[in-house]
Parts: sequence; C-alpha cells; structure tokens
Amino acid sequence: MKLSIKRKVTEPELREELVDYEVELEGATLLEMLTEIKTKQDSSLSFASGCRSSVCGSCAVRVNGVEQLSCAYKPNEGDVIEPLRNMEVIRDLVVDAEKAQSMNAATHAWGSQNRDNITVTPEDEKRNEVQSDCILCGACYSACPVYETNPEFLGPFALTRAWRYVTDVREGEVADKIEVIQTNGIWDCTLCGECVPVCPQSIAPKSDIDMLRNKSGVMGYMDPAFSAGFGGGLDFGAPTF
Amino acid sequence: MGKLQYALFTGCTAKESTPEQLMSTYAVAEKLGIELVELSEASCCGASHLQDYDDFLSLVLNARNICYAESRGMTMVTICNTCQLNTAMTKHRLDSNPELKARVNEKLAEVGLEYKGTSQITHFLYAIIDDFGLDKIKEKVVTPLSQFNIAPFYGCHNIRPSELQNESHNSPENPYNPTSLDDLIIACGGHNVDYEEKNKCCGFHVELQAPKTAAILTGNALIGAMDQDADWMVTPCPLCHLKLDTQYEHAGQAVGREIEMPVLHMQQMVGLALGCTPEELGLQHHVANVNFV
Repeated sequence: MKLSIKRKVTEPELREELVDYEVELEGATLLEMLTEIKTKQDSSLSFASGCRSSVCGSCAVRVNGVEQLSCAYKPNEGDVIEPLRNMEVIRDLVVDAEKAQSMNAATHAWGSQNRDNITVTPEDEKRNEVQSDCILCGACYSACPVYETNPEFLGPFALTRAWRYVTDVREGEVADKIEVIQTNGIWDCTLCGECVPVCPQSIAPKSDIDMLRNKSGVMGYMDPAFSAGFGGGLDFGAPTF
Repeated sequence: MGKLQYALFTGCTAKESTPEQLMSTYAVAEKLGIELVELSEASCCGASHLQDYDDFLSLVLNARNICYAESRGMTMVTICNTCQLNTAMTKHRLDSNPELKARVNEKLAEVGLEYKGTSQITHFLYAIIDDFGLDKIKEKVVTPLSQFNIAPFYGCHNIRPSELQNESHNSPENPYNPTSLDDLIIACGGHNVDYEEKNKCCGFHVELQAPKTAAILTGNALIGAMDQDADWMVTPCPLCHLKLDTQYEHAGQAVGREIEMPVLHMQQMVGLALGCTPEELGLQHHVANVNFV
C-alpha cells in the first residue's frame, strides 16, 4: 500500500514535500504503518504517539485533509498524511500543540473553589460526561476556521472544557469562567460546525459554545452583534423591488 | 409523477436583503412545474442567535412555523441554510424527545396549534435534486452553461451536522466532500470547479462580532475560487451570498488581493440554464458585477 507523507526536509534548504512509502501490513492502523516505516525503512520519519488506544490524543494527523487519530485510522491505498493545521510543524507529523493547549488556562478550565455541602448525583455527572471525554488531540483546532484567522481565539476544546466546569455543581466560580470567555471567545465562533465531525470523542464543541452563549445571556452579557444595535456594523442593504 | 408541491418557508433574508433569490426561486419552480405555497404566517427562524438566549423559545418559534406546513399537508421547503438548520434541528429534537415535544405543544396550544411531526423539511437544493431529479433537470435545460467554470459554495448549515442530512435526504451529503451542488452545476451544463474552500465557512455569523475574522474567511473563499479559474460562484444560502457578494471589496482588503467574482444564488444558475431572463432572476441587483449575461 502506498502512503504519501508530508515531510519537513531541512537539507539543502528547509522545505515541505510529500514522500511516498510502500508498506504492507494487512489490517494495520496508520500508527502501526508509521512505526513500520520508521523501524524498517526510514528512521528519520517523525510522528507523535502514546497510548495507541485513542486515549492520550497525541497522534492526531490529517488524512486526505480530514483530522484523524492515527492509532484508530485504517489507511487506504494512496492516502495523503499531513500534520495538523493551525499549529507550527516541529518536524514531519509532529506539531507544537502548546498554544492550543494553553487556551485551557485562558478559559480557566479547571475546578476552582468548591461550593460547600454539595452532593453530586449521577444526573449531575451525566450533564458534562461527554465534555469530560476530551483528549486534547487538537483535531478541532486544526479544523477551526476562526482559530486559523485569529490565533487568539480561545478555540473549540478550551470552550468545551469551560462548559464542562460551568456545569459542574461543585463549581464556585462560574461567574469568573463566564467572564473570561467573552473576548476572543464564544461570540467569535462562526457556528460553522467544522469542529463537530472531526472530534474522535464525538463531542460537539459548537453546541457547548451555544450553551455558553446562553449562560452568558442569562448572566447579563450580550452578543456584540446585538449590543452594536445593528447600527455600528457594515450595511448589507435592503433593496426593494 | 404528480405535480410537486411544497410549503415555502422563505425566511427573512430572501424577503428583505436578497429578494432576487425569492424571485428566482419562483421562476425556477414555474419552469419545473413545482407548486410553492408561501407560508405567509411564518416568522424568523431565530437565525442561529435566538437559541443562545432562549432555547425553548427558539424551539417553539420553529415548531410554530413547521405547524403551518403540517396544516397544509406539505413538505416544508427552505431556501436558506440557516433556516434549514434551525427548522430541521427543531424537528429532529422534537421527534426524538416526546417530553420536549409535549412541553412545546403546551405552549403552542396557546395559539391553537399542535406540532405533530408529519411534515418533512428540506432545502430547495435537495428538493429539486432528490424529488424532481437531476436527469429531469437536464432534460429541461435550454441554455447549457457549458462556457462557464462554476465554483460551488455549499455553506456550513446545509452540510453539518451529519445527522440532519441522514434524516432528510435519500443520499446524505458527506460534510467533508459534498457533491450535490457540483452535480447540479453539471446538470445545468456547466463545469464544476473543485477548490479547498467549497465546504468552508463564509464568516457571516461573526460579521458583527469579529469583522476581521469574517472578512478573512470571505476573502479566502473568493480567492480559492478565483485561483482555480472559476468564472463565477454559486451558493444555496442567501447569508453566504450576502457575505460573498456585498462584502467582496472589504474581504479583498483583508486578504490583500483584488477580487472580482460574481456570486449567484443556486436558483439563478438553474434559472439561466432553464432559459429565464436575467431580469426574471434579478441578476441586476447584485453588488458584484454580473457581466457575463
């Protein structure tokens, strides 16, 4: 089977190019094939991996333009393998995901001061069970057109994680978590939904952003589109016939 | 096949900002022998904003609109991607959650309505492809668009999320590689242009909140089509059309390129192939110069 892998070549000068490899491993995952290439054909090929079971989120790449976990994807003849988008490529398929992951700090996506005497019921746990499954693989940041154009955008998984803590009945600092997502955050999302089908954990960050907007409205914040009063923006015109 | 009939949910945009889209919808329907009954009682769908403030109100509002299609015993047809998303998502949620449906119906009873779930909801693009049929459209083409390279721009809310596609269409669209609009271009005799941005976001929904992001997304789409030698673009969504047509200069400034790219509504493209005049299709009302007809 032929795989075309985008490599970052440093000699004679720095450039990116697609390199073809032939690999025969019936029924193997992409990660197993990458490992086969590295151990048997080309030890300079670089890629990231960890758990090999779709839990650690370190092996996300793009296959034919679509984000996939390489440990879960079974390749087809001629697949084109590229690194994630919107992140600096360190080498070949290895990207620097630190910027995206730092957004979790920017959204204060952690459990803060606990409220006293709270009982967590199974129903409470279910409320943010799906959001808790995020493995920070970065597929949603790679697919997000807003993050592509505005690197300060807090981005899909950080906002999903913000919703996870905002809905936690133990959380004592919900107001703070809502405040920090108003700028370069929930209102900047175009609602395009690109982050939804690429998520290997079946999380829908777009829906979580919608819920955060709802919560923000209830807490007195306003979509800038409405606070602009429709007078300050660009005029689309209303022709009459 | 009997005469196709649909309850037309125009949405707000086609009534106000893009009336040429509504005109061309009727012109195409007449050429194809499709009867459209306008839902004059219908309101706004919430435009993907209302649910942020009041999700239940958004459900009631959209269920109310669907009720008027149900009372006519017709499939509802939309001509805006965001209207399609909001109405189809409402139907999806109510049909799969009897408790929620009961709560919505309690509210609707105040205005003498009941949501039953008997009407299907489809975009006009899929109505003419799935129900009328591409082969029959081909037979009706009198002016093939064979001299044009046409770039399809699908618009997010018609192709994502997938579960609505799976419920609504005979052959659900792949959100990564949609084909319906390409197929329609080919059926009209045109050459479909493949480019990376065809299933990307136009930026409309952050126009006011994040204008720079919106302008770059619009510019990327227009340049993507230009660089693949498209003569013009076509879209099934009036919101995408507003962004791509009225904002092309601003978008060009944002991405540092001069942009010249006519953008037509999907109905206008079909109308041209079926022999409608530019006046019948409102082509003179575009901002970008439509100079090829």
